[in-house]
Amino acid sequence: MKRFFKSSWWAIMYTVLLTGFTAFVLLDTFVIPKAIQSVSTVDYTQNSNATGTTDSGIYTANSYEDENISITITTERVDDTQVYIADIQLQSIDYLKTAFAQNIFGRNIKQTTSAMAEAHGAIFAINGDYYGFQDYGFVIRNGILYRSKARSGNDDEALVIYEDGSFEVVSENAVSADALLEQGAVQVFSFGPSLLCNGEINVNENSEVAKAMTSNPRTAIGIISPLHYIVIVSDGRTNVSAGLTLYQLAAIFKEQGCETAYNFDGGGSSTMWFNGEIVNVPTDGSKLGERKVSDIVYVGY
Amino acid sequence: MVYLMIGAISKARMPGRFVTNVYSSGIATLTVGSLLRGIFDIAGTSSPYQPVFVVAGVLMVLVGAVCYVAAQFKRL
Repeated sequence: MKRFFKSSWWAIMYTVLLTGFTAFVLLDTFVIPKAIQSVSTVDYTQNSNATGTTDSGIYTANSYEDENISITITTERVDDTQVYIADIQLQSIDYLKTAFAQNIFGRNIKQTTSAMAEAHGAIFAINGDYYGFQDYGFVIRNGILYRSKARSGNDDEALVIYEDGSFEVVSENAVSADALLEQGAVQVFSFGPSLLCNGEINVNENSEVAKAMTSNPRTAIGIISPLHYIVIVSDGRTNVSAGLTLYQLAAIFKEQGCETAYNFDGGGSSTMWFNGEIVNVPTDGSKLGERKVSDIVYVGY
Repeated sequence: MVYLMIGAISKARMPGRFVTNVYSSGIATLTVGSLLRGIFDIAGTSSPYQPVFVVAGVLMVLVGAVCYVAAQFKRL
């Protein structure tokens, strides 16, 4: 035994070192929370035209209506999949907001969509682009710039929502985040791809996000006209719902009359929340239930 | 495989313990780095520590190879 250790000390030591470092890298990537910045308390709506301050509208099982916000949720069956379509009309872009998990911008900081929605008094909410899973990609939320590092390669399409309520899909390597802020961007999301461009489908039947499966639960947002949005969340990975391909998802947006549509994080992250209830059936394929995510997009005061 | 090739095609002596340890460690590091890269690609994320595996692995393979060649020249 002594002879074995004497002759193999390098192999043993290096194996321990390599295993330890690998474990650290995995924990650093997937587990260890890293807070980078707390959410600014500066309210970007201070100088806005928004007049509403409270949620005092009329709720039904699948709609909400007040003088500033109108939301109607319909459920359809498309391609063996349960699809939830929210038609949202706003009087001001200030009622379309975003929030971070635990109100902290950082990596591996997560919370369920429903918890974030309730914490912010949302009327309606969906999961966002899960920015916290990446170290690159523009992050501008509620008019504040949190990350200006662009993604590399061809998958660098970002969705920009401007203060007039319009959408634009830009390439992160063609424009800086600071320039977008100067141009009036209030929200910038970094996931993609762009599903519709000028009313035409922008993906093909083989398109997919990175190495994901082709049929998945999905979350996406589209625009019919400034301040008139369509949000779609679909189920998937269950016996009841097969899931949608990006092409099928884009086709639904086109049918709804959208000009531009953009894909958010899907799979187990896909969650639609309305008036205190989860609308869809979130699952990662192995178990039902919400996944903790890093951010949400919500409608509220 | 490398050692079999050395024995089969040349009259060079087999590498010593140090060269073997360093070279094998480099190969192991590159292999683990590749596995991690695959995991991150499937998950759709990345780590700032990924280049450490490549740099360390390549360096150790090069050190092992250079030391082996230097030992052969010294013997000559």
